[in-house]
Amino acid sequence: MIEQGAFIAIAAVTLIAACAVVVARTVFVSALWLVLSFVGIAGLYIMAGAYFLGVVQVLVYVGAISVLILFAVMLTRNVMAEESPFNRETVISFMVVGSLFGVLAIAGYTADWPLTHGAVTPANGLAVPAGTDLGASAALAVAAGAMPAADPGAATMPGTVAMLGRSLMSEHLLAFEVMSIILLVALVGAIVIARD
Amino acid sequence: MTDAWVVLQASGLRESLAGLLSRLPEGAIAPTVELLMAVLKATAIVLVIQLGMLYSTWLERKFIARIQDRVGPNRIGLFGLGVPFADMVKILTKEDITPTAAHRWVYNLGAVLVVPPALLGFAVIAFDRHLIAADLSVGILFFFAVASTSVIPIFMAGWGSRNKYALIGAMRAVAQIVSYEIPQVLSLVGVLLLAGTLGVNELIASQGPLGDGGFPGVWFVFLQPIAFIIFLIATSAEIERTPFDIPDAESEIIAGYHTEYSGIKFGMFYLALYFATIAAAAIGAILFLGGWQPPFAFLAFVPGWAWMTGKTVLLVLVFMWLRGTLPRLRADQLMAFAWKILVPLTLVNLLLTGLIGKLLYAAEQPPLVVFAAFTVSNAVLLGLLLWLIAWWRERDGAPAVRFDAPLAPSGRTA
Amino acid sequence: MTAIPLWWYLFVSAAVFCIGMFGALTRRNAINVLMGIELMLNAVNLNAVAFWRYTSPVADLGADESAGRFIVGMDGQVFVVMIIALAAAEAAVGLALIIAIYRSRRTVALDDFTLMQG
Repeated sequence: MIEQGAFIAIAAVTLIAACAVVVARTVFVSALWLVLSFVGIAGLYIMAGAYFLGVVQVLVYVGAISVLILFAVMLTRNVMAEESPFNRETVISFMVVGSLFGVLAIAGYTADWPLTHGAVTPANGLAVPAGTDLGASAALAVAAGAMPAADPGAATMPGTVAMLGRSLMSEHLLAFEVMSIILLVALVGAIVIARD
Repeated sequence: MTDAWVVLQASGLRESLAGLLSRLPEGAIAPTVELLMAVLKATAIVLVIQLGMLYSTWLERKFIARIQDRVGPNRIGLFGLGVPFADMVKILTKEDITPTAAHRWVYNLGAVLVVPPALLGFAVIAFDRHLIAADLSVGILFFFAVASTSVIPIFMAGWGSRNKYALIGAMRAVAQIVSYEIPQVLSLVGVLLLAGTLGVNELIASQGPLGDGGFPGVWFVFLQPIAFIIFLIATSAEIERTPFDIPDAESEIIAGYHTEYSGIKFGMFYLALYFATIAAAAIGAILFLGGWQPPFAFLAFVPGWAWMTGKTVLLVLVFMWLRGTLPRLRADQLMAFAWKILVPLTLVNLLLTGLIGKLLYAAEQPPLVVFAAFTVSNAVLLGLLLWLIAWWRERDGAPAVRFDAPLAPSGRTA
Repeated sequence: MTAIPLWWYLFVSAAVFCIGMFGALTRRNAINVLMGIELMLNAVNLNAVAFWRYTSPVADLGADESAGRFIVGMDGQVFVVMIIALAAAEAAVGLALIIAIYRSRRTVALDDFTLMQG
């Protein structure tokens, strides 16, 4: 019950902050509300048990992307205060977006998702302490790419962060390498484009 | 007041709280007890660290005074020990001026929000084996994630003041913080590679001798001394202490992003600086100096929190020593130092640590071989550092980025 | 039994997505449009985390349920890591573009970006 209350509180903060982002008159103020919505999303990741992702969300989004956005706001200040911040297609956009939301919400509620573990509680299922003895479940973990097959310590469980690392380095290695190239290209591209 | 005593008190407290709350429905007792325990832990941390912060201001003034061959405050209380309270009274009673053109919400919130990132990091600092408020499995990353959010209040302070110079000061401060975050975090990835975990207590345990053993069993400062030095430099820059305090130096652009703040709002920036110093020293002690572990097992009768406090005070004194001794860096020198020297150095450190860890540790070579390999790699890094500094000094006349307005009467523009 | 059903997460994710989409479609300042896009990416991430939590493969620590179960599939988290990295790259390039356009035309209102029109 406390868990539900916490979820509702964090979700409410996130949704209000997201609304404030699109409604605020000044760019700077909507950037600040965006920071709050990022923090709210990080809170929701932590509620779902993805602790590493919640911390990474704060580190990357609040600590870096928000800084980028705020710098861009500082460097492109112009006086647009007299006109409305919205363009002419507000009503149509609202109708489209509203119907999209209706479809997504109904689909989310009524679809028969292949749930695998309603029975996992945060205390024993998610942040698995390193060194937990696995036994027969080792084979299943190996099949899912979370552990290497010839791991001498296959009887003991790596923690969740270690499983994510192994998964990135074994099953999803191509995506990992491509992503590092994308980041390099973006870095060089941004410097070249924004230079005098 | 040993570690075991604390654990006993905590479990007794839980039981008495559960007894007090027995009227609540069954499923809600345990979470509420945990919530109250968390509030109590947070209060204890804030009270203890606040006291530590007050006396670190005293220590700073006395220590820097001695470095500068003078005495420092000695009037209020014996040896000037009452000075922090006099400072508090002074800051609280100053007139609280708000500029009329300032954007009120952003201006006030900026002053308020500057303290939480500095204080939140203490949640994952382990003062003893069980004296840790939140033993997260991603504790180290949590600390640096929270520290990286300290940028937003600086922007708010700079923009909310509606002052051109505050804005420029804020942008310079943010550029500095964001640039030095990279060598700071990269320098400790070497430590994380060796320890194999992000959790604070496991990290301390892997530094032996009281831990559960595991690799390496010695303090990380002996295996990664260059990374330790880089961490100290980068953290000094992160918390904006001299020699990196351009944003709030007295001879620079008035007072940078906290120009327009007076009274207790300025006190908040001051608080945040000292909280951040203590937090940075504490995390440095955990990562490199072994946390609450004694250096040798036979010294284990001294309680862990005494070791931790001693190591933290030692690193705080190192930060103050740097402040009292070194001149300030120019803005372009500062950025060049971060990007051209520290980042390549930390990347090479990471590469070498990964190689040695994988080749030697995974192949289970004897510890002496591993230690010798690390000594060699650190010597290589030291050589690289000296070469980079020599290379940089040769080209010092051509800074790549200019942050300050053109001052030369020759009319040379940026 | 976890107290929060899956559809709560999907509801919040859909709401944030639609709010971000509304912002991206109707604001005049280019940076606001980018903020809407970031909101949409975050909503997708939240969706991925929710599905990771509720539909990943699990394994049991012991013979029965009381010994504990844990999640062994990390695909959902890998999706999120990739999307976060991609969002960072896209924000960097997008903001660099906006700054470059501002330098030459002194405006960031999307109505004024009409050079290629007609």
